Amino acid sequence: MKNHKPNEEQLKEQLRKLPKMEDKRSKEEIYKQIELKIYPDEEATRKKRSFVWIPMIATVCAALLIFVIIQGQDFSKNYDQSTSELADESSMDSSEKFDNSNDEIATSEEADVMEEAESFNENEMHDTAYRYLLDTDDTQSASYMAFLTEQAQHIVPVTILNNNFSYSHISEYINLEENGLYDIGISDMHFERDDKQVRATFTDSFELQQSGSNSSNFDKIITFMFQPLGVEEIQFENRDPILNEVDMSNNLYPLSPIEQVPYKIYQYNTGLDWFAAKNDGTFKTLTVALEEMKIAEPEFNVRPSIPEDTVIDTKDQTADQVFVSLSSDQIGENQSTVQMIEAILATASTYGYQEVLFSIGMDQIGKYDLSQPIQTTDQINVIQ
Amino acid sequence: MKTTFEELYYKYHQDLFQFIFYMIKDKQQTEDIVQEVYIKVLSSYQNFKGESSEKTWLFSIARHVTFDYFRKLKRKRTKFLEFFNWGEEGEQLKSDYQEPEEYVMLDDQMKQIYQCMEYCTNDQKQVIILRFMQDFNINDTAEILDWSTSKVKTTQHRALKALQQCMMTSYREEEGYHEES
Repeated sequence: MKNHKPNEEQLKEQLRKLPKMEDKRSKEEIYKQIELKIYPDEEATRKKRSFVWIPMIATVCAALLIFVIIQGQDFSKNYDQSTSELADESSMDSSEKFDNSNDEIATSEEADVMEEAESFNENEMHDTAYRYLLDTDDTQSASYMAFLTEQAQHIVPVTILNNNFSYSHISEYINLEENGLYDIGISDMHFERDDKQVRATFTDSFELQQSGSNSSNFDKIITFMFQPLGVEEIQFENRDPILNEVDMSNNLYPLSPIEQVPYKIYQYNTGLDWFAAKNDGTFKTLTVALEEMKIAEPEFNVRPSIPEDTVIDTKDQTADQVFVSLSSDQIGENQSTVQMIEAILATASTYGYQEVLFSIGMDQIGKYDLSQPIQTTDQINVIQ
Repeated sequence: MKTTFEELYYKYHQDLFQFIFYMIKDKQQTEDIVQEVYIKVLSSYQNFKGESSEKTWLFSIARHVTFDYFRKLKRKRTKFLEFFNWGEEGEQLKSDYQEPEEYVMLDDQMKQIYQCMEYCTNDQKQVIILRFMQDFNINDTAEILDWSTSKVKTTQHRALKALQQCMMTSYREEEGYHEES
């Protein structure tokens, strides 16, 4: 028998001899295509969108019609229950009820309907499988608070979506010790808010030693608490030495805007993940901030919010919208990718962008539809 | 932007096309991916700091874009297979792209090596393309892939082994077929 095993040198030689594949398109043709993609004609885009939507809407309508007809025929007993379940897409309880009705189903037609419903539930489960740290709905009733991390190198802002929230009862909403968060003394202050007017009072238990870094941290925490509410200054009802370094007239404390903040992920021991704003450094552009977000700071329990090997491109689409392209082997259907998207949305918000259009090689991750621009938000680290 | 594109085009276009084509073996898709690479390169060209060579940087972006394509393809494929509930049979379904005209002109041995590249993993494939078809040295290959040089060497070794194995199997099958007939 002949020995057909080629040696490595022969193989290398054969690989080198594989034919050169040539791109038959002209340079001009390629450039035109690229230009079209970079600067798409808005009119063409609008037309294209309307053409895409028409068959989509038609398909959805047809599917709904079929679903209603089948339900009317075969699910007459359960009609009221199942339609209400369909309407309440986010209710896990209702999907459980729907699953229970599976036992009663015998015909294959009914089984098909069940499959459809189950796959719908799977999608729902897929969405709820991730933990989300942002709330992109414009919630009027949100309250904001912020904490220092254990070594005070980062600030963790939180958004509390509860109408009954009071700053002095923050411990009912979050376990600060377990999460390695430090309240600079906010729970020892009293705040009264009337729309964009805030009056603040230091209680007797407020104790924060006066120092440059404490003053700076106090300023940032107060800013993170009230700037998202559109508050520009705080009226202090009494004085504390911590305010000595601030130039105030009539006890009016001016708030500076939250600008140019890269968000990374802070996790203390086995506590939860939180987006943490860097407390120092200057990040003049979004691109610089995104590059910073690739850097781990293990000494401060901070992980990168963007994989370290990511190739990042950004481009302003309009004054309000930025295009962000990210390439990394680690991007995929996982929690880290959800966190990356959310960290970028939070960061882009501090650069004045209203929307981010992502290109990460995926059209959907969790609840985020990446084929469309996504609204940025300052509602970060949401707790109910 | 046009000037930058033209410079890149003259210097690297055919190499870029070649690299992406041999990764995915589909000319039409290659054309789309090459365009995508240019878009990324042109929109981030001002950020290129010259820490690596221009060619290494370009190929590193090409590699990322190609792997994004693989991920998209995998997701589409998984959804498709789940939809029709084809398990293993579905896994063996072949893609519908045609071999390029350049393939038809090859002799049997070269056809075999062309086909056997598909028995390598994507990581192995990119190493052998960069090393032997694009003539990058070990250090540049490591830089493009963001790997250590030892990982490049190991992957290269495994890729060549996989190719050898595939070539041997193909010969045996061919001999068996001739003996039977």
